[in-house]
Amino acid sequence: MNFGRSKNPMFSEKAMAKFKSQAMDHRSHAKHQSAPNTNEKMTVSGVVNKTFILAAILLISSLFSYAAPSQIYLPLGALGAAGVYFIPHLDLTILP
Amino acid sequence: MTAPIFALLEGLFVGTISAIYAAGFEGIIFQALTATIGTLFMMLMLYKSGIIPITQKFRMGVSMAVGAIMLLYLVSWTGYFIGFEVPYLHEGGAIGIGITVVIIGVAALNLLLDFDNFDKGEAAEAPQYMEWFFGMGLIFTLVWLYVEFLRLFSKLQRD
Repeated sequence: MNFGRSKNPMFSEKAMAKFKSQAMDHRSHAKHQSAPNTNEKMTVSGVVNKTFILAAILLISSLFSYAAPSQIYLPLGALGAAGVYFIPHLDLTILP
Repeated sequence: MTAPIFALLEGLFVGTISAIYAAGFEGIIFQALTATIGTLFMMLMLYKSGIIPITQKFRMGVSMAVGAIMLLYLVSWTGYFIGFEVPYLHEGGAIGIGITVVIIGVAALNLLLDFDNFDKGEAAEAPQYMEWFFGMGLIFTLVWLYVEFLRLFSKLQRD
């Protein structure tokens, strides 16, 4: 499959070039600041592991807010999560 | 720390909305949770079997439907503060239930796009931090699906 020809904005040539340049920037930065090594490539099993970690955090947090509900949690959770979800769209290197 | 903070905030939202629905409708959390997990595995099987091919047109269609639904919710939410209501969206009855079923269908199809993103990311040798990005995407879709199931079962119990 040729991803360079995909029309999906996530996999467009521009987006992939952005991934690569961000990874390169991060690598040169890592030499000086011992940041995580980005030489490693993503795998499906890695995504599954990360999803389980996020699901565990979500479960603990939801049990807490279920046991002690507060009116502020609803807008804070909805707007906060939506906001935080879109931050990596601007700069992927800030992940996790 | 973006991804863990995202999960933490999503958890606050999910726990609170679950508590609100559980106060009004008995056993609704179990129903919604079971339906969400069931849908996840069903869509995973559909994806693995290749019954629904993820073409560019399919991806565009689902993305447009998701965008339209998000816009509808944004209008509905804005309307809540300025005093108008989007007809049928939050109501019971056949049309209200039908709208929620359609939204659940779109959310379920969005899971296929998430699975496809995993494979495409791996094939494109995306950097490892993209694992967090795609994980966040899947969690986002699952939470959306869970909330829609809560809405559906509450409408069904109401009628």
